[in-house]
Amino acid sequence: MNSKAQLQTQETILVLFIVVVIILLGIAFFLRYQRQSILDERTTYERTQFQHMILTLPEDAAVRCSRFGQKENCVDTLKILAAAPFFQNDPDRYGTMNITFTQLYPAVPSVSCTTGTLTDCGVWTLYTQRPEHIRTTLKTVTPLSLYRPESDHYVLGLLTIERYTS
Amino acid sequence: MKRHGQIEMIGLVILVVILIFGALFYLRFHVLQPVQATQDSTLVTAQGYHLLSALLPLPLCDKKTIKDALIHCSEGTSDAFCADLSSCQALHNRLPTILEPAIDHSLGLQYSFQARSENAVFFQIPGCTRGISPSYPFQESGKNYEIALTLCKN
Repeated sequence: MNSKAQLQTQETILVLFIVVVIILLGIAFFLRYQRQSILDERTTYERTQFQHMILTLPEDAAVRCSRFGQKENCVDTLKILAAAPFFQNDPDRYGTMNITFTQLYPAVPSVSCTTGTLTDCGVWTLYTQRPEHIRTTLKTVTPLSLYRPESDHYVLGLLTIERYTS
Repeated sequence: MKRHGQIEMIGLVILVVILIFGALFYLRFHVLQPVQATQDSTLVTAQGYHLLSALLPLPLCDKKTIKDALIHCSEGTSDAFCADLSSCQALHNRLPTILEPAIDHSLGLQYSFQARSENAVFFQIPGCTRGISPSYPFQESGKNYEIALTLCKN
């Protein structure tokens, strides 16, 4: 083999080596990017699922208003108080979260309503589970109609759902 | 000459690989972006719809509700409805004080409000001109009514 041929062989090996390195770098970068993309997608999915709780929760038969078996577009405040212990006993389903209903109009004192205090109050807690150390908080809200059976009238309320990560 | 051609082919392959990576990045940033926007608009539409459905049974004055006031206002009469105020005046006075805490303070959005009867606008609170527009239709005495919000960012 003459020196020109040797030089050409070395040149080919060098080019192949560089190409292989570029392809490996590309694959490594792509896999890393894909992994990050899947993680982002998971976060987005969890966030969407969480945000959609404002659509599903007021439809829950445990809190939704009904009159003679007919569903109504509101949440019954007395049902919230009745359902709260059952929600509270299901931490596997809701995790570290805070679900509250607040009366916005007509204005009332920001006092928690309990089975013993049904009037002059405007905050109903359906579920609360706060971790000791909170790293991030996701929050979603929606206005909705609240029915107050003790006075038989409808008020404007706000459903607030907060999810904590520790 | 043959070897030279092979090396050029490798160069072409590298170019194609780079182009594929470029296309992947383009898809990531330009195709997935609108998904988030769609999710946000679904959420805002739901929030607006909930608010509109909650408005109608709310008390406005005495035992009269906002729904009663809207129906009275659509008839175009200036009769006293709430004390010495007509239904339309009462709605103009009270509706912003109800909507602002719910929309501005809680959702962080601006709004405009419109009420229609048989597709004719009879009452409105100006504000947003463009945005997400949830609406809530209802019927009373055989007439069709619709209340609608337009929600936009601050």
